Amino acid sequence: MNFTMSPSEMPSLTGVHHTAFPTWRPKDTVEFYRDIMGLRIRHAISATGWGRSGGQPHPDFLHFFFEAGDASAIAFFYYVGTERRKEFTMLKGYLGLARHTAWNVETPQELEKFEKRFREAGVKVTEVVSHETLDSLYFVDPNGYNLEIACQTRPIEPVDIVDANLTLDAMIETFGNDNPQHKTMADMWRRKGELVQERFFDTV
Amino acid sequence: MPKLYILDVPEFAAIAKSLADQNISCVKRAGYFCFVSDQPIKIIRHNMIDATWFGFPIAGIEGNLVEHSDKVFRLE
Repeated sequence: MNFTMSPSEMPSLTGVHHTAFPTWRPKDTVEFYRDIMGLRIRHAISATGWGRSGGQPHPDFLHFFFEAGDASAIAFFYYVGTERRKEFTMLKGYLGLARHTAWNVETPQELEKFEKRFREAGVKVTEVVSHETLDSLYFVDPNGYNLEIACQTRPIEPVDIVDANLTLDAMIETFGNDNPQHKTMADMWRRKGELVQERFFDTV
Repeated sequence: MPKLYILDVPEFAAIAKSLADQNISCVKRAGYFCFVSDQPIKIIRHNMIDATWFGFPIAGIEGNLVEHSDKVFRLE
């Protein structure tokens, strides 16, 4: 890729402003995010007539935002009078679970408090699940959206960042797009080993 | 000769210790352990969460991954 912009001119992001989802359960959605999760309502708009002048009919809608910490928000669109489309909400299996929103808490105690709160409210929630550097709680909102609250269990160190970059190099070289050569994870680990060897062990 | 690279981070410390306890030759550089053996490298799982057990070869391997079941890892 040939960019004309120098590294110092690169624009930078400052966090997630919001992610947005359709809802057909506006009452349950507000009660879940505001009353159970304790998120403050930040903003709500309503609109009619969108798209009519362009020939693309658009239902009237409300768009509302809940504060999710650190200036981020989760937002919903309620399209008045439309029928629920389950293919947009009820995402199942590992592919469905892969699409989720995860929020951060600072301490394991905060994670435990959320777990307790969800159980008291009758929200289906997992036990705390430990990953390499995260403890996570998984649950589903009234729309069927997969959600997570995560607590970092150790800081991400410079070595983690170096390693992650090498892993993605190995991933791209091994699988490309759609894995046309039907490579395996072991193939990728072998390529990663070559990259680590070349970078850190052959040079001394 | 199989080689197994292990990232020097807390979640993989038990793997590195298991290999060190087997007296497998090791060099450490830039946050990576490189374990080399003229024999197959075998690790038995002990008290490890799935994420750690199934993820520890992320730093790389050299050789033939013969087994990585929920109990045993074997690299030849």
